[in-house]
Amino acid sequence: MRYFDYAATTKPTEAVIKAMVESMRAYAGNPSSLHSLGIHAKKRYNQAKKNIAACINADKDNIVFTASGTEANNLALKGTAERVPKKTILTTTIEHSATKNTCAFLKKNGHHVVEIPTDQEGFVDQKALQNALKVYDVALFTLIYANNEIGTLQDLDAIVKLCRKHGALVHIDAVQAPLHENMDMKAIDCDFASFSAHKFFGPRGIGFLYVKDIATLAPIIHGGNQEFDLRAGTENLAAIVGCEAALKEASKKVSKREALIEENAKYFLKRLKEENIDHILNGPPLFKRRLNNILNIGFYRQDGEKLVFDLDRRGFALSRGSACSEGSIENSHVLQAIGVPKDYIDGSLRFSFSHRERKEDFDKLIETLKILIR
Amino acid sequence: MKIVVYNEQKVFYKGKSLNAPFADEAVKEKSIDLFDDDDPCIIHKSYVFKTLAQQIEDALENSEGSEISLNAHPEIRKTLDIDAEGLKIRKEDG
Repeated sequence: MRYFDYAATTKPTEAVIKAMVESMRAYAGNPSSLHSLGIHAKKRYNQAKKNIAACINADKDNIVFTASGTEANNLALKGTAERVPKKTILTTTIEHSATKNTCAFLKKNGHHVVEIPTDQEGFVDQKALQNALKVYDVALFTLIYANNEIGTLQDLDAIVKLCRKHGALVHIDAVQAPLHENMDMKAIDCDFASFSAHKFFGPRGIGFLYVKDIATLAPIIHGGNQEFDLRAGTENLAAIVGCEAALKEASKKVSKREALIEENAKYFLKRLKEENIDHILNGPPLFKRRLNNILNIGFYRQDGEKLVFDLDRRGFALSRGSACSEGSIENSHVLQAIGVPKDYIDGSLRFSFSHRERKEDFDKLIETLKILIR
Repeated sequence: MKIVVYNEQKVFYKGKSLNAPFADEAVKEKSIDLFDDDDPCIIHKSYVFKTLAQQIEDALENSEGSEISLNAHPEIRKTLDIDAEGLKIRKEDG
């Protein structure tokens, strides 16, 4: 099976699996217990937290472990809304469902949530953002930094500056980013950032929220006082150690990996053109501010669901980004928001790859697409 | 692929294989087989329909003639919600 679904999940590396298994064997105590086994586990937990923080140029006290990127988003949004319930939360029209549906929940519960539009490439409309920041008393702007469907990378520098000017906090969903760029939280200067280990060759079931100042958040899970009282529950040390191993590995050789990804992206698009397969690239063009490993391609008048099914039968794993909506399958809200034309939206597929694919993999993919798209 | 499901007396279905009249019980059975889920969401249900349709298409592709008799394909016969004997399926052009 040729895998083109890295934006959905990645397989933990052998080093990650080894670190996790060793951790399960070596650390039997609860990190909260004040006996030697607990203290031993607490020490390892603190070491892992420090190492994870170092990978994103943050401090140990900025990291709140969660069970997923989705939970990290929930904590940032609900935790802020709980602190300042009367204020407005701004979001965008192209968020992952982890943010989109959390915002919908907050709205249903009486919070004021406003969506900021994007342009056709998925970049935040900064004029609309500026207007909203002027008109409303904004607590938080939450946005997806690296879009999981179309790859758009937002201009955080400008956005954070704009929000700072109006006293608004900024949360970024950075889940897709760590494999592709060195995340420097001090340079980005946002207030919250969500991460998920399984997107960078770590295990599922572990994520974390970078929190610049823990006083800005209220907890959403109550119980013991783990994670600065923000997220109760006994720490999943094996998963945390797996996350540590994966992030350390992901933070190395980023530019070398990206060079390989860029070559592959360029080659794939060139071959599609050479073969006269009628298509458009949804989102920004290559080499603009984008992740080059997420290519969302709209094929002219095709049934995307059927293409995914047929590609799977022929040995290619990839996704679309459609969702269940009241008993029917709806096209991705992201593609709808950026205005992908009707003739291409139904046949839009997300090809997300890594640095590991070779030209032959793309050649095989093109040959198969030629058979399926007639 | 467009198909026609018929017997000597009547045409029961003409259209895309994906939209063939699959029996609820067959959909449920296939969903349990694939996902161990007897009440799948619409996305998983649509995958089940594609799998059932593919079964018909594969049988047609592998047949020597242009049609298949469902007497020879009980695995397909039981997926269709058509109350009749002697059913056949043929490929429809276009």
